[in-house]
Amino acid sequence: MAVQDTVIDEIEHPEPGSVILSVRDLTVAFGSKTVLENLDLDIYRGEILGFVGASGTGKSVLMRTVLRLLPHRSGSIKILGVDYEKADDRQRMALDMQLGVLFQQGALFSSLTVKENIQLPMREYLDLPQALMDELAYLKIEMVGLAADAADKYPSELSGGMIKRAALARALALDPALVFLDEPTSGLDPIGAAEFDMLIAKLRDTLGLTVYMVTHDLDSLFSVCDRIAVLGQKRVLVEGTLDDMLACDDAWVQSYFRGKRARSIVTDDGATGTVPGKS
Amino acid sequence: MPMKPKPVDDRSATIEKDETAGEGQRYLLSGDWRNRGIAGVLKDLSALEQETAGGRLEIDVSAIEQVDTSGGWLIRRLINARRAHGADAVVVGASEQLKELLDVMPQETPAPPAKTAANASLFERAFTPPGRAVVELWQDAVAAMNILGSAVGGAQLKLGRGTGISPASVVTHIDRMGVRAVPIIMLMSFLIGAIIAQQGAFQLRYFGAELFVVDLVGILQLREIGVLLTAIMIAGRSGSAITAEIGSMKMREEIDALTVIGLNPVGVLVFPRLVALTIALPLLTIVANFSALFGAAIVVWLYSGITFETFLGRLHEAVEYSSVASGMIKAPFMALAIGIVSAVEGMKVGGSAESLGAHVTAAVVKSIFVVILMDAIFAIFYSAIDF
Repeated sequence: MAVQDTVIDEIEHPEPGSVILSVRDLTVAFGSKTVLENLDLDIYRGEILGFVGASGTGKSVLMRTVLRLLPHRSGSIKILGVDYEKADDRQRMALDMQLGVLFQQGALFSSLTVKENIQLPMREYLDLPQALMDELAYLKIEMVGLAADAADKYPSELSGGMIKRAALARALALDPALVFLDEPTSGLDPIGAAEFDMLIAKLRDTLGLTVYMVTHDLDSLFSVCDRIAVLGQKRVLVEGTLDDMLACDDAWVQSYFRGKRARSIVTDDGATGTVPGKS
Repeated sequence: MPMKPKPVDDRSATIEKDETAGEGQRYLLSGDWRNRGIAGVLKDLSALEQETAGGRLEIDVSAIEQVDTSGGWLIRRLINARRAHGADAVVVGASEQLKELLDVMPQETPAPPAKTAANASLFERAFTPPGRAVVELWQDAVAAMNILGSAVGGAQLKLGRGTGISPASVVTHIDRMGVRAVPIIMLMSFLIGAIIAQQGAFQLRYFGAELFVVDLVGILQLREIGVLLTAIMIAGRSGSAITAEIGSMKMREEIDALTVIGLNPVGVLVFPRLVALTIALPLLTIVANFSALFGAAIVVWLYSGITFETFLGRLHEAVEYSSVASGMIKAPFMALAIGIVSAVEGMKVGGSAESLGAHVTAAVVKSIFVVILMDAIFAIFYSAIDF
């Protein structure tokens, strides 16, 4: 028991700056088609990692594999230092509580209201009175920028942006340590998207949240992401800060970060000081 | 039932009154103020929230090990509650993170917006459901006529672009609803025919009229049982499929897409299914009748020693043209009823998975009911015209 408790202790009290997700030699293949091969990836606690890559390079496959929704051929995935496949039931449960996922389409349960959606993980894992769960649900709803009257609406009555926000509220219901966001700002207007970015940055600052964000939103990549990873050729092609991306000489990375749309944002922000196209 | 994680004993959240404080009050908070650790502290906390003492109140959070939004909210709520009573509540010893967390928490208890709807009177509550049922029945009837009319109208393909009937689609649906249902229909009918023959033979034996079991099975199967049971089976098998297909297309806005492209969704989706059902059900009824009579022939040969030749000879005498026709005439009408009821239910599906399930259930129940009702009406009609 004592040994187990220290493992659970590590899961529940991750050290700031420690590696929260570590993927080693990951190979994922369907039939004879290899999607990811010998992929390595580290995410540190308290950082926002932006994940980009051309369509069809396996961004979603990687995220779904890390979340154990897809099987992998070889390699290891450690979340908070624990390999899920080797963990016992108590460790798995502690681990599950530390993960939150915002799916691309929201994936809210259509037969539950927004409030019930948010309370579902709380009900499953915590012994809290209904009144407090209601307060916490309304708190989350307010935190993600939804109006209080959205709480009793069903997902089919919400707009696309509201679904994203409600789904984020559900992902954050248990205050997890690691949150996976699959294209969180797609389908939001620029103001809403900027608010969403700020919200995620604020949550990182106040709660020490770690964020794994699959995104194509250049504004998000430039404004909130601490680190960017590019997926290509079945592995992580390059990872690092924005400057590393700009210095990278891979053709796809260059056209992505030095394209017309990227350039205007970089120069506006003055993030790099120089116009990347001319440097 | 998943296990609830047990908080590590010395880590769960605690709150204590510091009696040694001089002026004013001082609360000491310690432990893990995250959602898994706070369950034990709620009682103490609400007791302290009830206190009405004014003056200075220091909430010392320096001993808190970890905190999340749940814990932050509890601290904020304590401050809010005491400030409402005029106490000068302040947080001391907070880290930068906790300060920021407390600052973003709302000043007031987030509450649901007040419900404005007044309670309905007893009269309303008693008469709303039957009234609604009547209105829905009428709406269903209108929707059914709409679907029948639109289906006959076709897909509304643009002028000069063909008739709007897609033979490929009709054939596909005949394959799905008809051909693939043959094995189960044959098996079911074979057993039904055998059971009726066996029970009939045992009863008729008392009168020494065992041979008349052939009349019983032949007329019952061809006039009533064959088409009725086949229709019920198809209502469960294909009616549910129609509702589920149309319903999920409705949920994903595919129906809206068809409308915007300028096609009539009923014509495109429902019409081929209706045509396919109307062709498939009579054919399946024929298959069902043959296998039921085959089952009956085997059973009467085994139990009563009636040979196939005797069986066929007797059948030839007992069964008239009207017996065969009266059963077969019902099949296309029942097929239409199943298709229309299922399509109406499919079009009513709303946004949630729950409503899809409810409407598929309703489609099967209603179409089986309508099939039996139609059979009864046909029976009255046939006896009135002496058919």
